[in-house]
Amino acid sequence: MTENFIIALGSPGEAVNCEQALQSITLFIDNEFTPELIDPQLEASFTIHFQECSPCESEKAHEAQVVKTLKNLLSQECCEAAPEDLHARLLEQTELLAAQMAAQAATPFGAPGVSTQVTTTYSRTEITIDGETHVEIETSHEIRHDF
Amino acid sequence: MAVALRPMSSELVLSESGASTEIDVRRPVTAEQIAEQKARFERDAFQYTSQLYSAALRYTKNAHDAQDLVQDTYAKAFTSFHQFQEGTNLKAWLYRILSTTFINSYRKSQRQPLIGSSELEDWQIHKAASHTSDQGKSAEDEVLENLPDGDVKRALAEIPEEFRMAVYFADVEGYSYKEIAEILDVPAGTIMSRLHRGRKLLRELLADYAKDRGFNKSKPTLSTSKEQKP
Repeated sequence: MTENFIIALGSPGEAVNCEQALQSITLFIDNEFTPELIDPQLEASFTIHFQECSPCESEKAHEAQVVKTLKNLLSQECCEAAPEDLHARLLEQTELLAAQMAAQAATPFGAPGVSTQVTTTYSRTEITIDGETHVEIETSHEIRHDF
Repeated sequence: MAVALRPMSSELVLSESGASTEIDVRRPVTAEQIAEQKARFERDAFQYTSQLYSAALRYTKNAHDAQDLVQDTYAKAFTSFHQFQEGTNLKAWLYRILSTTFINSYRKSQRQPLIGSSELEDWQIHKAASHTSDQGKSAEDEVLENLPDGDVKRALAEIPEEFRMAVYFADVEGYSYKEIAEILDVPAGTIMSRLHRGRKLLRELLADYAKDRGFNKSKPTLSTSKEQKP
Protein backbone atom coordinates (compact mmCIF):
# COMPACT_ATOMS: atom_id res chain seq x y z
CA MET A 1 0.00 0.00 0.00
CA THR A 2 0.93 3.63 0.08
CA GLU A 3 4.21 4.09 1.74
CA ASN A 4 5.78 7.28 2.89
CA PHE A 5 7.64 8.80 0.05
CA ILE A 6 9.45 11.95 0.90
CA ILE A 7 10.70 13.63 -2.20
CA ALA A 8 14.09 15.22 -1.86
CA LEU A 9 13.71 18.74 -3.12
CA GLY A 10 16.22 20.42 -0.85
CA SER A 11 16.66 20.74 2.86
CA PRO A 12 14.58 22.83 5.24
CA GLY A 13 16.23 26.17 5.98
CA GLU A 14 18.25 26.19 2.77
CA ALA A 15 17.31 28.45 -0.08
CA VAL A 16 15.60 26.71 -2.99
CA ASN A 17 17.22 26.91 -6.43
CA CYS A 18 15.43 27.08 -9.79
CA GLU A 19 15.89 23.42 -10.57
CA GLN A 20 14.26 22.38 -7.30
CA ALA A 21 11.48 24.91 -7.78
CA LEU A 22 10.72 23.60 -11.27
CA GLN A 23 10.52 20.09 -9.91
CA SER A 24 8.00 21.16 -7.32
CA ILE A 25 5.57 22.63 -9.86
CA THR A 26 3.61 19.40 -10.28
CA LEU A 27 3.02 19.30 -6.53
CA PHE A 28 1.82 22.93 -6.52
CA ILE A 29 -0.51 22.39 -9.47
CA ASP A 30 -2.02 19.30 -7.90
CA ASN A 31 -2.15 20.85 -4.46
CA GLU A 32 -0.16 17.93 -3.12
CA PHE A 33 2.17 19.44 -0.57
CA THR A 34 1.28 16.65 1.80
CA PRO A 35 3.46 15.23 4.58
CA GLU A 36 3.50 11.84 2.81
CA LEU A 37 5.18 13.38 -0.19
CA ILE A 38 7.30 16.22 0.99
CA ASP A 39 8.69 17.73 4.13
CA PRO A 40 6.02 20.32 5.01
CA GLN A 41 8.69 22.75 6.16
CA LEU A 42 9.88 23.03 2.58
CA GLU A 43 6.69 24.53 1.25
CA ALA A 44 7.54 27.96 2.65
CA SER A 45 10.96 27.89 0.98
CA PHE A 46 9.31 27.16 -2.37
CA THR A 47 6.71 29.84 -1.93
CA ILE A 48 9.48 32.36 -1.27
CA HIS A 49 11.39 31.25 -4.36
CA PHE A 50 8.36 31.63 -6.62
CA GLN A 51 7.71 35.09 -5.20
CA GLU A 52 11.26 36.17 -5.92
CA CYS A 53 11.99 34.39 -9.22
CA SER A 54 9.83 35.56 -12.10
CA PRO A 55 10.95 32.89 -14.64
CA CYS A 56 9.93 30.16 -12.17
CA GLU A 57 6.70 31.92 -11.32
CA SER A 58 5.91 32.30 -15.02
CA GLU A 59 6.67 28.61 -15.60
CA LYS A 60 4.38 27.65 -12.76
CA ALA A 61 1.57 29.87 -14.07
CA HIS A 62 1.93 28.42 -17.57
CA GLU A 63 1.99 24.84 -16.32
CA ALA A 64 -1.08 25.48 -14.21
CA GLN A 65 -2.90 26.93 -17.22
CA VAL A 66 -1.93 24.04 -19.50
CA VAL A 67 -2.95 21.41 -16.96
CA LYS A 68 -6.25 23.20 -16.41
CA THR A 69 -6.91 23.19 -20.16
CA LEU A 70 -5.96 19.52 -20.41
CA LYS A 71 -8.26 18.65 -17.53
CA ASN A 72 -11.16 20.41 -19.24
CA LEU A 73 -10.53 18.73 -22.58
CA LEU A 74 -10.04 15.30 -21.03
CA SER A 75 -13.19 15.62 -18.95
CA GLN A 76 -15.19 16.61 -22.02
CA GLU A 77 -13.89 13.81 -24.21
CA CYS A 78 -13.45 10.92 -21.80
CA CYS A 79 -16.94 10.60 -20.40
CA GLU A 80 -18.62 7.91 -22.47
CA ALA A 81 -21.97 6.75 -21.16
CA ALA A 82 -22.32 3.04 -20.52
CA PRO A 83 -24.47 1.37 -23.19
CA GLU A 84 -28.03 0.49 -22.13
CA ASP A 85 -27.26 -3.12 -22.92
CA LEU A 86 -24.53 -3.12 -20.28
CA HIS A 87 -26.96 -1.90 -17.61
CA ALA A 88 -29.27 -4.80 -18.45
CA ARG A 89 -26.40 -7.29 -18.31
CA LEU A 90 -25.30 -6.00 -14.93
CA LEU A 91 -28.77 -6.27 -13.44
CA GLU A 92 -29.17 -9.79 -14.72
CA GLN A 93 -25.72 -10.79 -13.54
CA THR A 94 -26.42 -9.52 -10.04
CA GLU A 95 -29.69 -11.49 -9.96
CA LEU A 96 -27.82 -14.63 -10.95
CA LEU A 97 -25.04 -14.14 -8.43
CA ALA A 98 -27.51 -13.44 -5.63
CA ALA A 99 -29.43 -16.57 -6.55
CA GLN A 100 -26.20 -18.57 -6.48
CA MET A 101 -25.33 -17.18 -3.07
CA ALA A 102 -28.78 -18.03 -1.77
CA ALA A 103 -28.58 -21.56 -3.16
CA GLN A 104 -25.18 -22.04 -1.57
CA ALA A 105 -26.44 -20.71 1.75
CA ALA A 106 -29.39 -23.09 1.65
CA THR A 107 -27.19 -26.21 1.56
CA PRO A 108 -26.25 -27.87 4.89
CA PHE A 109 -22.64 -26.92 4.34
CA GLY A 110 -23.60 -23.30 4.26
CA ALA A 111 -24.20 -23.15 7.98
CA PRO A 112 -22.59 -20.07 9.49
CA GLY A 113 -19.46 -20.66 11.50
CA VAL A 114 -18.17 -23.43 9.28
CA SER A 115 -14.92 -22.42 7.69
CA THR A 116 -14.14 -25.34 5.39
CA GLN A 117 -16.12 -28.48 4.93
CA VAL A 118 -14.62 -31.32 2.93
CA THR A 119 -16.92 -34.08 1.82
CA THR A 120 -15.34 -37.19 0.38
CA THR A 121 -17.44 -39.80 -1.33
CA TYR A 122 -16.08 -43.12 -2.46
CA SER A 123 -17.58 -45.44 -4.94
CA ARG A 124 -16.31 -48.92 -5.59
CA THR A 125 -17.07 -51.14 -8.48
CA GLU A 126 -16.30 -54.85 -8.37
CA ILE A 127 -16.09 -56.69 -11.56
CA THR A 128 -15.82 -60.40 -11.59
CA ILE A 129 -14.42 -62.06 -14.59
CA ASP A 130 -14.60 -65.86 -14.95
CA GLY A 131 -15.51 -66.10 -11.29
CA GLU A 132 -11.83 -65.76 -10.37
CA THR A 133 -10.32 -62.35 -11.10
CA HIS A 134 -11.57 -59.33 -9.17
CA VAL A 135 -11.09 -55.93 -10.57
CA GLU A 136 -11.82 -53.14 -8.19
CA ILE A 137 -12.27 -49.63 -9.38
CA GLU A 138 -12.28 -47.05 -6.67
CA THR A 139 -13.08 -43.44 -7.24
CA SER A 140 -13.24 -40.65 -4.75
CA HIS A 141 -14.79 -37.22 -5.03
CA GLU A 142 -13.84 -34.40 -2.80
CA ILE A 143 -16.20 -31.50 -2.45
CA ARG A 144 -14.85 -28.46 -0.73
CA HIS A 145 -17.02 -25.70 0.65
CA ASP A 146 -15.14 -22.65 1.77
CA PHE A 147 -16.83 -19.99 3.79
CA MET B 1 -31.22 -12.29 -23.61
CA ALA B 2 -29.10 -14.87 -21.90
CA VAL B 3 -26.37 -13.55 -19.70
CA ALA B 4 -23.59 -15.96 -19.02
CA LEU B 5 -21.65 -15.44 -15.87
CA ARG B 6 -18.16 -14.79 -16.98
CA PRO B 7 -15.64 -17.12 -15.35
CA MET B 8 -13.93 -15.48 -12.45
CA SER B 9 -10.35 -15.91 -11.47
CA SER B 10 -9.43 -16.39 -7.84
CA GLU B 11 -11.22 -14.09 -5.49
CA LEU B 12 -9.72 -10.72 -5.02
CA VAL B 13 -8.13 -9.81 -1.78
CA LEU B 14 -9.42 -6.36 -1.16
CA SER B 15 -8.92 -5.89 2.51
CA GLU B 16 -5.91 -3.88 3.47
CA SER B 17 -5.58 -5.31 6.92
CA GLY B 18 -5.90 -8.92 5.89
CA ALA B 19 -8.34 -9.44 8.75
CA SER B 20 -10.09 -12.31 7.06
CA THR B 21 -11.96 -13.59 10.09
CA GLU B 22 -13.66 -10.25 10.54
CA ILE B 23 -14.60 -10.22 6.88
CA ASP B 24 -16.03 -13.71 6.84
CA VAL B 25 -18.39 -12.80 9.62
CA ARG B 26 -19.90 -10.14 7.40
CA ARG B 27 -20.49 -12.45 4.45
CA PRO B 28 -24.23 -12.70 3.93
CA VAL B 29 -25.58 -16.17 4.62
CA THR B 30 -29.31 -15.90 5.09
CA ALA B 31 -31.71 -15.13 2.27
CA GLU B 32 -32.56 -11.83 3.95
CA GLN B 33 -28.92 -10.83 4.20
CA ILE B 34 -28.30 -11.67 0.56
CA ALA B 35 -31.38 -9.73 -0.50
CA GLU B 36 -30.23 -6.80 1.61
CA GLN B 37 -26.74 -6.89 0.09
CA LYS B 38 -28.21 -7.04 -3.40
CA ALA B 39 -30.50 -4.08 -2.77
CA ARG B 40 -27.67 -2.04 -1.27
CA PHE B 41 -25.36 -2.94 -4.16
CA GLU B 42 -27.90 -1.96 -6.79
CA ARG B 43 -28.64 1.28 -5.02
CA ASP B 44 -25.03 2.31 -4.31
CA ALA B 45 -22.83 0.72 -6.96
CA PHE B 46 -24.93 0.92 -10.11
CA GLN B 47 -24.78 4.70 -10.23
CA TYR B 48 -21.11 4.50 -11.27
CA THR B 49 -21.57 2.30 -14.33
CA SER B 50 -20.76 5.02 -16.83
CA GLN B 51 -17.69 6.24 -14.96
CA LEU B 52 -16.41 2.67 -14.72
CA TYR B 53 -17.13 2.13 -18.38
CA SER B 54 -15.19 5.25 -19.27
CA ALA B 55 -12.21 4.12 -17.18
CA ALA B 56 -12.51 0.65 -18.71
CA LEU B 57 -12.33 2.18 -22.18
CA ARG B 58 -9.09 3.87 -21.21
CA TYR B 59 -7.72 0.49 -20.22
CA THR B 60 -9.01 -1.70 -23.05
CA LYS B 61 -9.37 0.88 -25.84
CA ASN B 62 -12.37 -0.91 -27.31
CA ALA B 63 -16.04 -0.97 -26.40
CA HIS B 64 -16.45 -4.75 -26.36
CA ASP B 65 -13.64 -5.46 -23.90
CA ALA B 66 -14.58 -2.41 -21.86
CA GLN B 67 -18.10 -3.78 -21.35
CA ASP B 68 -16.74 -7.18 -20.36
CA LEU B 69 -14.30 -5.55 -17.96
CA VAL B 70 -17.08 -3.57 -16.32
CA GLN B 71 -19.22 -6.70 -16.07
CA ASP B 72 -16.37 -8.65 -14.44
CA THR B 73 -15.73 -5.76 -12.10
CA TYR B 74 -19.34 -5.69 -10.95
CA ALA B 75 -19.39 -9.46 -10.50
CA LYS B 76 -16.35 -9.33 -8.25
CA ALA B 77 -17.60 -6.25 -6.47
CA PHE B 78 -20.94 -7.90 -5.70
CA THR B 79 -19.47 -11.13 -4.38
CA SER B 80 -16.98 -9.13 -2.28
CA PHE B 81 -19.40 -6.41 -1.30
CA HIS B 82 -19.43 -7.53 2.32
CA GLN B 83 -15.76 -6.52 2.41
CA PHE B 84 -16.53 -2.96 1.42
CA GLN B 85 -16.43 -0.66 4.40
CA GLU B 86 -19.47 1.58 4.51
CA GLY B 87 -18.56 5.22 4.66
CA THR B 88 -15.43 4.82 2.54
CA ASN B 89 -15.26 5.76 -1.12
CA LEU B 90 -17.27 3.19 -3.07
CA LYS B 91 -16.36 4.53 -6.50
CA ALA B 92 -12.64 4.33 -5.68
CA TRP B 93 -13.18 0.79 -4.36
CA LEU B 94 -14.82 -0.17 -7.65
CA TYR B 95 -11.98 1.44 -9.61
CA ARG B 96 -9.53 -0.61 -7.60
CA ILE B 97 -11.34 -3.81 -8.55
CA LEU B 98 -11.49 -2.65 -12.16
CA SER B 99 -7.74 -2.02 -12.25
CA THR B 100 -6.88 -5.29 -10.57
CA THR B 101 -9.22 -7.19 -12.89
CA PHE B 102 -7.73 -5.57 -15.94
CA ILE B 103 -4.18 -6.31 -14.86
CA ASN B 104 -4.95 -9.92 -13.92
CA SER B 105 -7.23 -10.91 -16.76
CA TYR B 106 -6.93 -8.58 -19.71
CA ARG B 107 -3.49 -7.13 -19.87
CA LYS B 108 -1.93 -10.54 -20.46
CA SER B 109 -3.82 -10.93 -23.69
CA GLN B 110 -3.23 -7.42 -24.91
CA ARG B 111 0.54 -7.35 -25.27
CA GLN B 112 0.82 -3.94 -23.72
CA PRO B 113 4.19 -2.29 -23.69
CA LEU B 114 4.84 -1.66 -20.05
CA ILE B 115 7.22 0.73 -18.54
CA GLY B 116 9.79 -0.87 -16.36
CA SER B 117 12.93 0.29 -14.64
CA SER B 118 12.93 3.48 -16.67
CA GLU B 119 10.27 4.80 -14.38
CA LEU B 120 12.81 5.05 -11.60
CA GLU B 121 14.81 7.37 -13.77
CA ASP B 122 11.86 9.65 -14.36
CA TRP B 123 12.68 11.87 -11.56
CA GLN B 124 16.30 12.05 -12.65
CA ILE B 125 15.23 13.03 -16.16
CA HIS B 126 12.96 15.62 -14.72
CA LYS B 127 15.89 17.06 -12.79
CA ALA B 128 17.27 18.43 -16.02
CA ALA B 129 14.23 20.70 -16.21
CA SER B 130 14.82 24.27 -17.18
CA HIS B 131 12.65 27.28 -17.87
CA THR B 132 10.57 27.19 -21.03
CA SER B 133 11.07 30.05 -23.46
CA ASP B 134 8.21 32.47 -24.08
CA GLN B 135 7.99 31.19 -27.66
CA GLY B 136 7.70 27.65 -26.35
CA LYS B 137 4.88 28.67 -24.05
CA SER B 138 2.91 30.52 -26.70
CA ALA B 139 3.43 27.74 -29.24
CA GLU B 140 1.90 25.29 -26.80
CA ASP B 141 -0.97 27.64 -26.00
CA GLU B 142 -1.67 27.89 -29.70
CA VAL B 143 -1.72 24.11 -30.07
CA LEU B 144 -4.13 23.71 -27.17
CA GLU B 145 -6.42 26.47 -28.36
CA ASN B 146 -6.79 24.90 -31.79
CA LEU B 147 -7.21 21.24 -30.94
CA PRO B 148 -9.91 19.49 -32.93
CA ASP B 149 -12.35 17.29 -31.01
CA GLY B 150 -10.99 13.88 -30.25
CA ASP B 151 -7.29 14.76 -30.22
CA VAL B 152 -6.92 14.61 -26.46
CA LYS B 153 -8.77 11.32 -26.23
CA ARG B 154 -6.60 9.85 -28.97
CA ALA B 155 -3.39 11.11 -27.37
CA LEU B 156 -4.39 9.70 -24.00
CA ALA B 157 -4.99 6.31 -25.60
CA GLU B 158 -1.52 6.40 -27.12
CA ILE B 159 0.54 6.94 -24.00
CA PRO B 160 1.64 3.89 -21.97
CA GLU B 161 -0.96 2.47 -19.63
CA GLU B 162 0.67 3.46 -16.33
CA PHE B 163 0.87 7.10 -17.37
CA ARG B 164 -2.54 7.02 -19.03
CA MET B 165 -4.36 5.77 -15.97
CA ALA B 166 -2.57 8.16 -13.60
CA VAL B 167 -3.59 11.06 -15.84
CA TYR B 168 -7.13 9.73 -16.16
CA PHE B 169 -7.70 9.31 -12.44
CA ALA B 170 -6.12 12.67 -11.59
CA ASP B 171 -7.34 14.87 -14.40
CA VAL B 172 -10.74 13.39 -15.20
CA GLU B 173 -11.77 11.92 -11.86
CA GLY B 174 -9.95 14.52 -9.77
CA TYR B 175 -8.45 12.04 -7.33
CA SER B 176 -5.53 12.90 -5.09
CA TYR B 177 -2.17 11.12 -5.41
CA LYS B 178 -3.01 9.11 -2.33
CA GLU B 179 -6.35 7.97 -3.72
CA ILE B 180 -4.81 7.03 -7.07
CA ALA B 181 -2.02 5.22 -5.24
CA GLU B 182 -4.66 3.10 -3.52
CA ILE B 183 -6.56 2.38 -6.72
CA LEU B 184 -3.43 1.38 -8.62
CA ASP B 185 -1.64 -0.08 -5.62
CA VAL B 186 1.59 1.85 -6.04
CA PRO B 187 3.23 4.49 -3.81
CA ALA B 188 2.00 8.08 -4.00
CA GLY B 189 5.43 9.29 -5.10
CA THR B 190 5.19 7.01 -8.11
CA ILE B 191 1.83 8.54 -8.97
CA MET B 192 3.36 12.00 -8.94
CA SER B 193 6.10 10.83 -11.24
CA ARG B 194 3.68 9.06 -13.62
CA LEU B 195 1.38 12.03 -13.67
CA HIS B 196 4.16 14.46 -14.43
CA ARG B 197 5.54 12.24 -17.15
CA GLY B 198 2.10 11.33 -18.51
CA ARG B 199 1.01 14.93 -18.94
CA LYS B 200 4.31 15.69 -20.61
CA LEU B 201 3.87 12.82 -23.08
CA LEU B 202 0.31 13.91 -23.74
CA ARG B 203 1.42 17.45 -24.53
CA GLU B 204 4.18 16.22 -26.80
CA LEU B 205 1.72 14.08 -28.73
CA LEU B 206 -0.74 16.94 -29.09
CA ALA B 207 2.06 19.10 -30.47
CA ASP B 208 2.97 16.29 -32.89
CA TYR B 209 -0.61 15.97 -34.11
CA ALA B 210 -0.76 19.69 -34.69
CA LYS B 211 2.50 19.55 -36.61
CA ASP B 212 1.27 16.61 -38.72
CA ARG B 213 -1.84 18.52 -39.48
CA GLY B 214 0.33 21.35 -40.64
CA PHE B 215 -1.05 23.59 -38.01
CA ASN B 216 0.96 26.72 -38.09
CA LYS B 217 -0.01 30.36 -38.10
CA SER B 218 1.78 30.94 -41.40
CA LYS B 219 0.11 28.00 -43.15
CA PRO B 220 -3.62 28.31 -42.53
CA THR B 221 -4.59 26.42 -45.70
CA LEU B 222 -2.80 23.27 -44.66
CA SER B 223 -4.48 23.24 -41.29
CA THR B 224 -7.97 23.32 -42.73
CA SER B 225 -7.35 20.75 -45.43
CA LYS B 226 -6.09 18.09 -43.07
CA GLU B 227 -8.23 18.88 -40.09
CA GLN B 228 -11.12 16.78 -41.27
CA LYS B 229 -9.34 13.57 -40.46
CA PRO B 230 -9.08 12.94 -36.74
